[in-house]
Amino acid sequence: MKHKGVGLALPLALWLGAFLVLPVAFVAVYSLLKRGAYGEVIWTLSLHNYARAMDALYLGIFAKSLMLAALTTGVCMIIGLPLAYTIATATKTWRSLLLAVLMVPFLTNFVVRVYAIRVILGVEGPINRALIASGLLTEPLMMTDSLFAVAVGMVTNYLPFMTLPIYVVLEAFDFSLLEAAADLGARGWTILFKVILPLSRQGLVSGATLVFIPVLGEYMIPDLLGGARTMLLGNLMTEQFLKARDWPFGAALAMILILAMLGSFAVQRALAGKGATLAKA
Amino acid sequence: MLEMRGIDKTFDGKAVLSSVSLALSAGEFFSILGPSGCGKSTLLRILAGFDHPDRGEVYLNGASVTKTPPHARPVNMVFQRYALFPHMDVAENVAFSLRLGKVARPERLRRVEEALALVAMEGFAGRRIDTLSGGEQQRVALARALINRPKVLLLDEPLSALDLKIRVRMQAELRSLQRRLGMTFVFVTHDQSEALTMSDRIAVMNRGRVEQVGSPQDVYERPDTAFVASFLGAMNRLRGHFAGPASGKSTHGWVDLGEGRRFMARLPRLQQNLPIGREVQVQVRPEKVQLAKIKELAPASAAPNVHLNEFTCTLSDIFYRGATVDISGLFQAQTSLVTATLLNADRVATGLCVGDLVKFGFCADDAWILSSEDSHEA
Amino acid sequence: MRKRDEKPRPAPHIAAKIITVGAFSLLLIPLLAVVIYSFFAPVSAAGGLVWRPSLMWYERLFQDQLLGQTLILSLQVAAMTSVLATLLGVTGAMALERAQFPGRRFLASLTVVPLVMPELVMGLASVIWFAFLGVRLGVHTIVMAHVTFALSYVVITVRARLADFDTSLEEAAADLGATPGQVFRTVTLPLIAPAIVAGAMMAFTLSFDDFLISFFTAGAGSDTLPMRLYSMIRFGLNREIYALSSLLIFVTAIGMGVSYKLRVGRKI
Repeated sequence: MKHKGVGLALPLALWLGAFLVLPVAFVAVYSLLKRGAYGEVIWTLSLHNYARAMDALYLGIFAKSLMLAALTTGVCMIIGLPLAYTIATATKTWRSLLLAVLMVPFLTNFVVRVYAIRVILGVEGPINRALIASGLLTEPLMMTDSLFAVAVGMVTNYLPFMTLPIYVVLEAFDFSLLEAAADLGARGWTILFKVILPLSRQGLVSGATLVFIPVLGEYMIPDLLGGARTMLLGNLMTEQFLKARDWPFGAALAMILILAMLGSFAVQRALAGKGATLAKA
Repeated sequence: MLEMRGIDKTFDGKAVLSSVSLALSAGEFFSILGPSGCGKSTLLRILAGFDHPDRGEVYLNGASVTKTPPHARPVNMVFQRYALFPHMDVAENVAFSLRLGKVARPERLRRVEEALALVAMEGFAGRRIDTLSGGEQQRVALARALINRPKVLLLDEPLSALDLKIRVRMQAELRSLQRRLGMTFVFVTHDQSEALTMSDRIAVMNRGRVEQVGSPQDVYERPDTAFVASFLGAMNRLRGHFAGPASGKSTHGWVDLGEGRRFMARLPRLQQNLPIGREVQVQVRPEKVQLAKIKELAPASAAPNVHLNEFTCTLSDIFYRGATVDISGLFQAQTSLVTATLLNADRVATGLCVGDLVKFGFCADDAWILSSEDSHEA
Repeated sequence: MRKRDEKPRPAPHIAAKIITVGAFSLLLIPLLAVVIYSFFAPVSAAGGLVWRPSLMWYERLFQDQLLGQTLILSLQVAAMTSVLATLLGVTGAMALERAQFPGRRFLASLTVVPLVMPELVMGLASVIWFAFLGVRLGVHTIVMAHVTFALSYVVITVRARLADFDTSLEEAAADLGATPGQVFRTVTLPLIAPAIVAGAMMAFTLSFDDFLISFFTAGAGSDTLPMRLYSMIRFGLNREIYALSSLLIFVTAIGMGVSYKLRVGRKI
C-alpha cells in the first residue's frame, strides 16, 4: 500500500539521474580540473579556475551580465504588470484573444525572432528609414551591435515569461478589493502600491525568476545583437567551451551561474514569503 | 446481512473509527448520522472497499469481504458529488459496469432504459453530463449504481448538494425506490431530519464511535446519551441534582431543581447508577411541553399512572414559526429557559403575551435524566 | 468544467492600456517585418538596387537542399523527443501524483529543475557528461538532452490535470467493477488525454525551437534547423530565412488553431 507505484516512478528517476543529476555533478568535478595544452582535460584537482574567474576582466563581464539581467527584469516588470492587468481585466473573449497574441512570437524560431529585432533596429531598418524620411535624422542611427540592442532583444523575448505569472495571479484576483480600497478613500498610486503590487507579488517574484536566470545565461541574443564588443557571461562560457576548448574553466563559469541561480531562488523564496505577510498586513 | 465487527481506523495517528460494530438486515434503509468528522464517511468508504480498517472485519452474507477490492464487491455507491464521468453521456455512464462485464449491446440498451426509467430519467440517455441539473445528475448516479442490482447500495450524503425543494422530493423518491427494490440502503448524512424521515434504523455516530442504534422514534424519543439527545432536534435542559429513584420504578428518578421543585423523569439505560446529589439535567423536547394560561393543563396529562411535572413561569419570548409557535418562559430565578412548541392552531397559543404568567407542564415519561458531566458536547 | 460567475472587472488606467499597446507592438512588429520582408527582393535599377515584391526567396528556399535536410532532422528530433518525454513524463506524473514512495518530494523538485536551469548549463553539462562516458555526439545525444528538459513540461501539465480531477471518479469506476487497469483505460486516461496531448505538443515545440542545447550536443553533420539558421545568419545575410519563418509561422498558426478547435470541440 505505502510503496505502490514505485515502478511507475522508476523510469523518470533513472532518466533524471542519468541525464540531469550526474551531468551537473560532473560540471562541478570538471570545474576543479585543468586544461591541457591541446584542449584535453588534466585530472588534477585545484581551485585555480575559480581564482582565474576573479580576474578583473571576468569580474567586469559578471557585473555587466548581472546589471543587464537586473535591468531586463526591471523593465519586464514595468511593462508586464500593466500588460497583465489589462489582460486580466478584459472581458472573457478579449482575455483569451490577448493571451493568444502574447504567444504569437513563439510561432517562429527563436533564432529568427532575435534576428528580426536586428533587422528592425538596423541601419536599413524601418525605424531608421522612418526617422530619415520624417527629416528628424540625416544619418542613420547605429543601434545594433550595442548593449542597447541586447537589452531590447532581452526584453522583447522575455516579456511573456514575466507577464504570464503576473496574469495568473491577477486573473484569480478579487477585484472587489479595489472597490473596497477606493471606497476607503485610496487613490490611484496608493491603490497601485498598497493593493495591486502586494497582491501580485507572487506573480512578480516568479516572473522575475523566469526572466533573471535565463537572461544571465543567454547566448543567442548578445551574440546576434551585441556585436563583437559586447561580451556577456553566456558568450564567455560558450566561447571557453567551443572555441578556447578550456572545458574546466567553462565548467567553473557554469558553476558560478548555477550558484547565482540558487541564490536567486533563495531570494525568491524569501520575497514570496514576505509577500504573503505583507499582503495580510 | 451486512455486518461490521470491531472496526478501528486511524489516519496519521488520529483515531477516526474506534471499535465500530453494526449489523444490518436485508432490505433495510439504514442511516449513519453524525456531525462532520465523526467518521461516518470513512465507515462508508470501508464498506465500499476504498479504505481498509486497521482492525475488524466486514461481512457480507456471512462471508468476510474485508480484503476484497472495491471492483469485486457486490456493493455500489452513490457519491456525494455524484462522480459522473464527464467524458461519457448519460447512457454511457449508466452502462459503464455493463460494458466492463461484456454484456451484449441489445441487453445493455434494455437495462439502461430500465434503470433510467427507475429514476424517471427516460429520454435523457444521449444527454451530456454537464447539461444536467444537480437533481438530474443525482438520478443518473443512482441509475448507474443500481443497474447491477447490488446487494447493498451505499449513499454518501447524496442529497447535500441539492436545493431544499428538490432535496425533499428526492428523499421521498429514494425511500419509495428502496421499498420497491427491497434493497439494503446505507445512507450517510449529517442532516438529522433527513435521517429521521427516511430510515428504518439510524446509527448515531460521534467521534468515531456509534453512540446509539435504533429506530427514528428510539433515537429521538429515548436517546441513550446526551450527544444523541442534543444532535437530534431541539431540547430543553433544566439543571438540578439527582434526588434518587422514584419509588417502585427503577426506570424513573427524581431531580431536585431548587425552590422546592422536584421533577420526575425517565432514567435512560446508561444512567441507572447515578449517585444521589450528582449534578444532572432534566431534558425534554419542546413539543412535549404543554402549557395552560391560568388553570389546568390539557386533559391528556390527566391519565392515571402518569406523573405530570408542573411549574409556573413568566413568558419571555414568543417566536412565530409558521405552522408552529415557540413559547419560552423563564424560571428557576430567571436562570433557566423553557420552550414549548405548540401547533399554531392550538387555542392556548393564541392570545398569549410576553410577561404573562403561564403554567408549563410535561409528563415524566417524555423527559429523561442525564448526568451533566457527559452533556457538554455538541 | 468549472463554471464561474464573473463580476465585471474595473477598466484599467489609460496608461496601462498605452503600455499594453506598446508591448504588443514590440512583440509583433519584428514578426510582421519578417513576413513582409520575405515578399520583397532587390532588383537592379537605375541608381542602384530597388526592392520589389517578389517570391524569389521562396523559390530559393525550395531549392535549398541543406535547409531541407536540417528541417527534416529537426522534425525527427522533435518527434522522438516528444514521444520519449511523453512516455517518461506521463508515468512520472502518475507516480508523483498518485503513488507513495520514499524520495517522492525530491523527485518532484528534481523535475522542476530543467525549467529554470539556463539552457547553456544544460547543454554544457550534457556535453561534459557524454565526453566523460565516451559517447559520440550525434542525433541521439541531441534527443537525450532535449528529452531531459522537455520532460519537465509534460510532467507539470499532466500532474496539474491529475491533481485537478476528482479522484472519486476513479473510485466510482472501481466501485462499478473496473479493475485498476480498466480504471486507468476507461476513466483516468481519457480525462488526462488533453494534458498529455498538450505536454507532447509542448515537448515537440521546445525541441524544434531549441538552438543552444543542440549547438552543444550535436556532433559534426547533425545540424538541426535552428543551427542551420544561425550559421546562415552568421555567415552572410540571407532572406531565405524570412521566407522559411513566414512559412513556419503560417504552419504553426494553423496547427495551433486546429488543436484549439479540437479541444473546444471535446470541451474537456
